Amino acid sequence: MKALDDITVLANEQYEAGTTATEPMAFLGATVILTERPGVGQIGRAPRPPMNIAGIDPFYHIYLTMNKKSLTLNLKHPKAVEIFKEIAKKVDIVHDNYGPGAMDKLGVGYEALKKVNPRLIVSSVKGFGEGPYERYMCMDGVAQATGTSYSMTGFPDKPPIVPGVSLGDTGTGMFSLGAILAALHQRDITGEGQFVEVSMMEASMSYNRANYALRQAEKDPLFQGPPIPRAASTLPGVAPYNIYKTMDSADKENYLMIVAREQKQWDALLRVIGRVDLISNPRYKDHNTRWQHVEEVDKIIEEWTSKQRASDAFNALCRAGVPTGVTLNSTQMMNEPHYIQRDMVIELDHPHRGHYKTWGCVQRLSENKLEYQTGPLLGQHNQEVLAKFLGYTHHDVAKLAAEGVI
Amino acid sequence: MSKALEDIKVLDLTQWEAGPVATMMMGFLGADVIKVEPPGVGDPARHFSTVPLGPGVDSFYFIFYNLNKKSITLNLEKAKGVEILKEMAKKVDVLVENFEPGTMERMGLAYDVLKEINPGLIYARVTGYGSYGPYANYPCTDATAQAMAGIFSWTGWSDKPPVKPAPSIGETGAGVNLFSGIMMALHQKVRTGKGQFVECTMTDTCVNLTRVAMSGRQAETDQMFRGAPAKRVGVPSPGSAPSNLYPTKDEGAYINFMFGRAQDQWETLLKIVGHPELVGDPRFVDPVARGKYNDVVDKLISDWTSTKSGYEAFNTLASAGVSTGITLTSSQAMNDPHVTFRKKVVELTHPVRGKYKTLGYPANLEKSPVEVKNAPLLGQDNQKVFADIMGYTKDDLAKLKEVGVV
Repeated sequence: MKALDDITVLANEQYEAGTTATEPMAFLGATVILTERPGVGQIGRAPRPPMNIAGIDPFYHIYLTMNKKSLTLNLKHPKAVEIFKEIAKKVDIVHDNYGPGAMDKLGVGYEALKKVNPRLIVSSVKGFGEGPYERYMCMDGVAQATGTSYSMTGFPDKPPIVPGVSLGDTGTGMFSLGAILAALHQRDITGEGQFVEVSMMEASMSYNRANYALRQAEKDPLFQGPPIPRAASTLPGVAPYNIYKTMDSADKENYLMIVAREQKQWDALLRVIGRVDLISNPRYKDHNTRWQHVEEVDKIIEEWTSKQRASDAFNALCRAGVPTGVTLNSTQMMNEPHYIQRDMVIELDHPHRGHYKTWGCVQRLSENKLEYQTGPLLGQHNQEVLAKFLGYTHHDVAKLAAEGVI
Repeated sequence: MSKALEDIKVLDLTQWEAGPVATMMMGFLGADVIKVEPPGVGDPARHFSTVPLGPGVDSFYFIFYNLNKKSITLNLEKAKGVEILKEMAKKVDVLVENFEPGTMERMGLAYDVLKEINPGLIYARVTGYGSYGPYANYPCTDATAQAMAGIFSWTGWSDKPPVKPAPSIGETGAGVNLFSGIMMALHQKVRTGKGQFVECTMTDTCVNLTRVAMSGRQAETDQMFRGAPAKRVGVPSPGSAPSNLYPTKDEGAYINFMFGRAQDQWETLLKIVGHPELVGDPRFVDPVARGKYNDVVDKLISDWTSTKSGYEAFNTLASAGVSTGITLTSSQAMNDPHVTFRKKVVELTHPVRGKYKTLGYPANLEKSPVEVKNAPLLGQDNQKVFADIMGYTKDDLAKLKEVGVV
C-alpha cells in the first residue's frame, strides 16, 4: 500500500507550476492522469534545441511527468468535454494550471464539475488569483519578479537577477501540493470537496519571508521605508555568513559557504582553522558584533580556506558542527554520492532518450517504498483510462480518435 | 468543520525556520499547534536578529515563522520533562522536530519509543542531510544547502562569483515539503490507523528544485551529467529576445517579459511601445530571430519603459495580455494593492513589538479561510495547555516550575 494509492487525479496541467504539484502524489501511489491535446500534447513536450524533433520529448517534460499516465483529449470538442466530466465524476481531484478563466471557458470549471461530483477537490494554480492582477499572465520569471526574488538577488553594483532555480513555478507547485492534501484531509472528515487555489506571486513572496523578517521588519515593521538591497551572499548584520575562496575556486568555482550564527559554531570554526587564540575575544562575542568587524572576520577565515581543498575543509568544518557548504557545480551535484545513496538523484530509461539521470521524491515516509517510472508517451494510456472509466472498447477508442475527440 | 485541520493536534518541537514553516502552515489551516520550548531560553530564533535585541524581545524572524501557534515551556533535559512529553504524545496526532540529529534519541524521545506509546503518531523531521549517506547528520542552513545543490554556481553574472539566491529555498522550501509529507501520512492513517515517520531534508529540497534549470542548461546535451557544468549567463540570454530587464522611471523597478513564442504578445508589446509599424517585420518573427537584434529590441522597449513608473509600465503591459513582470522591492510588495486586497499581507499588533506587517498563506481553500494570528510569547499558553492535556492545576504548574521542568 502507498499513502495515496486510493486517490485519482485528473490533471489538465502544463509547463511546471501545475506538474510539480502532482508528481509527488504520483510517487506516493496516486493515479495521475494527464489530459493532453492530441498530436501535440502538453506544451512541455514541444521540441527543444538541440534535438528539436517533434515526438521526441525534451527532458523538461520527462523530469516532471514521472509515474503519471497520459490521456489525449481535444477539449475544444464537445464530446471530449463530456468525457472529461464523466471521468471527473469518478476521480478525487481535478487539477489545472491553465490561464485565468480557461477551465470555465472549456466548460469544466469548478461550478460545472462540483455539480457532477460534490466530493471533488478542484485545484487551480493561478499567477495572481482574484484581485487587481486577476487577468495577468504569469510564468516563473513574472512570479519571481513580482515576488521580490529578483530585487534581492545578486550584487549591489549590478541590476537585479533571477535566482537560478524556478522557484516561481516549482516553488508554487510545492505549495499547491500541500493545499490539495489539506483539502483531502478535510474531505476525509466531512465527505465534501472544495476549490483550492494557489497564487504564484504569493508563493514567491512566501519564500522571501526570512528576508522580510531579518532584513527589514526589525527597523521598519510596516515596510514603509527603503527596501531590502542586494547583498551578494551575505546577510548584513550577521557574520560569518559569506562565501570564501578555496584552492578549488579558480578552476572549479568551488567556494565554501560558511554560516556561524551561534557562538558555539564560531568557537568550533576557530578551532578548525587553528585560531583558538581568538576564542572569547570580545570583538567576536556574537553574530551581530562580528558583523561590526566583518572584513576582519572574513579575512581570518579566508586566510585558512584559501589554502584548503574545498571538500576537505567542508568535511572538517561540518564534522566540527559548523554549517558549511561547497558551491558545487551542476556536474558535481548530479554525481554527488550523498544524493545518489539517498535516491535523490536516480537513473531511469526512456524509450526514445535512452538512459538518463533524474530526481527522486523529497517526501520520505517510513511505511512507503518509493518506486520510480519514466513518464508516459503522448496518449499512452488512452485505452486503459477510457476502458476503466467509461467502459470503452478498442473500437470505441479508435472511433473517437478518428473523430478528433482524442 | 470550518478549517481543514481543526481536528489535528500538533506537538511542535521545531526551532529556527524549516521545521516552524511546516507547523505554521498547519496552524494557518486550523490545527492546534503547541510549540514546546526550553524554559527561559525558548526557540533560539527568538534571539536571532540582524540587529541586537534586548532581553525578552522576540525577533521578527521568530514572529514571522511562528504565527498561529501556542507556546508552552518544558525542559526536555530533565527526566520529568521527558515523561510529560511522552504523556502528551499519547494525545496528539503529529509531532514535528528539527533538532540536530541525535538529539531526540539522546532525550529518550526517538520515533521507536513514541510509536509504542502512540501507534497512530505521525513523527515528522526535517534535517540538513538526513540520517544516512556520506554527509549524514552534517549541520546545515539555507545558504549551505543551496550551495550544495549547485544553485549558487549558475545564479548571477559570468563576470562575478557564484551567488546565493535571496529566497530561503533550503529552509522554507524544506518546511513546505515536510508539510506535504505530514499530510500524506495523515491520509494513509485513515485506512491503516497507523502513524509513520516522515522526513524531508534541506539538501534534497534544493536538489529537487534544480530539475528545470538542469533540463534547460545541461540535460539536453549531457543527460548523464558527465560533462562541462552549467554556467552563469547573466541577462540578457543569448539567442532570445526580449530577455533583458528594462528600466523604468523608478530606480530598482525593472520590467521583464516571459511570453516566449507567443507572437501575438510580441505584437501587442510593439503597439504599446509605439511601434505598430514593426508588426510583421521579418527580423522579429520569433524569439530566436529577435535574439540576433538584441540591442534593437532592447532599445525599442526601454525607450518606452524608461518614461513610465514601474507600476504604470507593468499594469499597462500586463492588462493588455503581455506576460510581464516587475522587479518589485520588499517595500513595494509588502504594500502591493493586489496582495493587500487578497489579505495575504496582513497587519497585526504584537504585545511587545507593536504594529507590524507579515505574510499569510499563499493558498486559498474555499472551506478553510485563513485568519493570521500573532506568534506566542514564551510559555504564554502553559496554564491552558497543561490543564487541557495533563489536567494540571496552577499549583501543579508552580511546583514543576520550581524544579525547572516547566
